[in-house]
Amino acid sequence: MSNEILFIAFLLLALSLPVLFSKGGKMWLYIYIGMSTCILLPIVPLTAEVFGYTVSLSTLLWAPNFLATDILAEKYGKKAAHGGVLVHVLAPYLVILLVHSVLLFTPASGSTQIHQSISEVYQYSIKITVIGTLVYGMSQFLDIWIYDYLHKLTGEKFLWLRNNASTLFTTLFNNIAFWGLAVGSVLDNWLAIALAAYAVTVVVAICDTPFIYLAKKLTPLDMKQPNNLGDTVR
Amino acid sequence: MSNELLMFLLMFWWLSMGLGAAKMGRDWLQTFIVVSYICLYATNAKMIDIFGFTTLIGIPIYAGIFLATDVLTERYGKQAGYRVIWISLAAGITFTTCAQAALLFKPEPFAQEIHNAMALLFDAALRIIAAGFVAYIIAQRFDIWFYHWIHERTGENRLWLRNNASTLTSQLLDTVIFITLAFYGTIPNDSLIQMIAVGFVGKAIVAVCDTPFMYLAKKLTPLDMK
Repeated sequence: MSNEILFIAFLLLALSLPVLFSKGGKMWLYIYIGMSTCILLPIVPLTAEVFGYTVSLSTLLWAPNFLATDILAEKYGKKAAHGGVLVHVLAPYLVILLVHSVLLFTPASGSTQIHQSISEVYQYSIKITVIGTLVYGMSQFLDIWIYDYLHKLTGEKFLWLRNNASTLFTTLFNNIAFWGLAVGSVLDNWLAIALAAYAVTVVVAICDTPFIYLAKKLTPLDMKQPNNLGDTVR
Repeated sequence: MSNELLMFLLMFWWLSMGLGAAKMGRDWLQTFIVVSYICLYATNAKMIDIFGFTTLIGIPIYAGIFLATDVLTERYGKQAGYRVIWISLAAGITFTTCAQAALLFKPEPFAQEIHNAMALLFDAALRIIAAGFVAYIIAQRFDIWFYHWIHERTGENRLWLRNNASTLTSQLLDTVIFITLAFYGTIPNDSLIQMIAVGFVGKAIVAVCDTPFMYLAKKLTPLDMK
């Protein structure tokens, strides 16, 4: 299969995942965000050529996180969305702590190859985590600030404007800062990679609109029967 | 540093992380369990020598997971414990699907090397994840059921008894099922049995070490219950 078809299939998969997890409720969305940071770390260096551009496959899994936080904000309020951002910032540190502790052990004679694969796959993970979480935290801060500013400027109307304008602007900042800091010193074409990543983010941001309406229609399990599962009601 | 020392350090480090998650509340406990599990299965193909025996790297990480699961069922009930099993399973399947999907792409020339390393790691991880989750579902369901069975009979006292008895029996189940499914056929049967024995002894040590942490966790008032 060509990379382009795979790209579209992967995009649909990546966008339907938050919707599927949102059916389970708030907790499942947190788990989705935590899980996606686990997969992001190893695949950031994995790039492929799609429609003539060099694209890191991680962007396809990173961008739907905005859908997840949007669903959290829409259904459970701003505080729940902040929880999602916090999971996104903290979970990668758990991953690198674990993986790099594992790498400290001397491998048994049979598993040197596995050891080398782990160290190769996760070789950039510390750098990616530190830069990624810093930039992501800052851009989320910026996002809330722009959203608030536009809200004051235009009033209650134009929800779509403040929603899209704030996200499109902050993801531009996020992509350029992340790729510039992460690979700027190694690759000459880092700006092209950053802009391609931004283009993917924009595509994901536009394509996610039907998915957020779909998620809005679903009744999450934790809202249906608050007491039936033996939970403490929160 | 020697592997033995590292193992104990990592174990206490991960137990403290579990304790921190217990302090933060339920969402954190569940996220901690799931993220630990996924990383564990992404790296669990690595084998190490400890005290002259070959075993899997995951044992010290299990300490934190046992602690977090026991705190979760102790504090939030049986159903919360059962639910985290299904959440972990869903997250594990999603992780594997995404990793395999990312590997379908033809990588750029400069990313070929990392593609190969990832393919080796995640292909090895595929069978381990599958075996791990079969063992995990059976053993954890048994663990939670047995924990509450003891709880009903002995009451609030003897936290150490239900904590250790349930973890030890369920981990015997877990180790036998997991190692048989994950490695049968790839290594000789003698070393398979040896790995089961060493794996179980390692987990038993870890399970006993988490007892003081369990009492500490019981004393903490989680932030979401204040």
